[in-house]
Amino acid sequence: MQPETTPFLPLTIQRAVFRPRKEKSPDLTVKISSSLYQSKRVNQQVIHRPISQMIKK
Amino acid sequence: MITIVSEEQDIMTDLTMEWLARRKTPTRRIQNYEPQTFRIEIDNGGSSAAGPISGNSHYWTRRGKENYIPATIDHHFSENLPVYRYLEQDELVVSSYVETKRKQQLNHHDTGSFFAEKKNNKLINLELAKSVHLLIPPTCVTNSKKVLAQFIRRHKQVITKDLCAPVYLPGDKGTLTSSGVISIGLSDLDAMADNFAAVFVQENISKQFEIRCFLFRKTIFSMAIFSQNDQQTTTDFRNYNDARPNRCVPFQLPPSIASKLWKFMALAELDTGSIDLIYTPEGEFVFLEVNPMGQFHWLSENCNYYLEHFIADSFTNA
Repeated sequence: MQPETTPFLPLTIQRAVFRPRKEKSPDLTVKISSSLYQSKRVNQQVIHRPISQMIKK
Repeated sequence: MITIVSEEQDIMTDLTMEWLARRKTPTRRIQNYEPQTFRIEIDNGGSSAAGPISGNSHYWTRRGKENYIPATIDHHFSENLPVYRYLEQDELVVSSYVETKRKQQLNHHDTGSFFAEKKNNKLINLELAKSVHLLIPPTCVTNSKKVLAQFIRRHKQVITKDLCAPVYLPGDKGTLTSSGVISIGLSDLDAMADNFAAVFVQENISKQFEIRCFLFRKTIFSMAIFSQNDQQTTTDFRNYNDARPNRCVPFQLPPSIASKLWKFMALAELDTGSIDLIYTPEGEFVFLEVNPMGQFHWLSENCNYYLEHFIADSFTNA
């Protein structure tokens, strides 16, 4: 399938991005377990600032 | 028992379950593709049901829904075949019944809804937002080139985006995926016929920054996204620049806006969801849309909200 340019379709489809299927080699397939996810954040705090301070002039 | 229905890849489910495990809270995770056995009996004496309805103290429908189509059917028929689609329609009747009964039984201990996601309607949501006095972008949906041209002439700066879900059209050689929010001008209409499938357009609202809010039960967590310093994300922060991400910081909504969002959530019958807002150069808040099952891991991590901890606590403390 290539990007659709028929004029009866909305621009969201006409401008859609075509991503070719990647051929995977079984030997190279690596499954990453979500349990391996490790957050390195330790007790970082939420800091609310006034809007005026948030906007870089 | 706390049951969480989710997708295999959803990281917030993983993180929340780690907190629940730390608390030694009995938790069951149902992946949206795992076939579930169920029984529903209705007669003059009442009704009874077994399966995912029974035995839960809390239920969180995070992403997707339970699957009641047996694996044998899954293996036998392609998802594109009419017979599979027919069976899916039947399955939705079961899913809808199960969700309705569960919400009746668990009341506010049942959070999230597959059918809220399924019936999520950008146009109705804009009407609801307007009814609680939230500002919304001038919007038009049409299948007429003439009407579209009139809207663009009237509003000058106009964007178009998906009316329902992002474009995702898998094929033999690859997949067509959404290119996000697109600016549209009169010259773009040259490539379009006089009549076409529905097009959703809105006036492009000027921004100081964008705001992503995650609402869970009775609490709002918000994040300001400085998308205007990068040409790639100026129109919409979701046109992500992975090489140079937008600056994202915690943001506290004014009580008046938070109050309007809760009124909107009540009208939309949602107890959780992610809402996108714009903060304009004039200091106004403009409602864009709500995603009942949107992603919020990035919001949690950028702002140090530790939402996984908060959600796990909300189950164990309720």
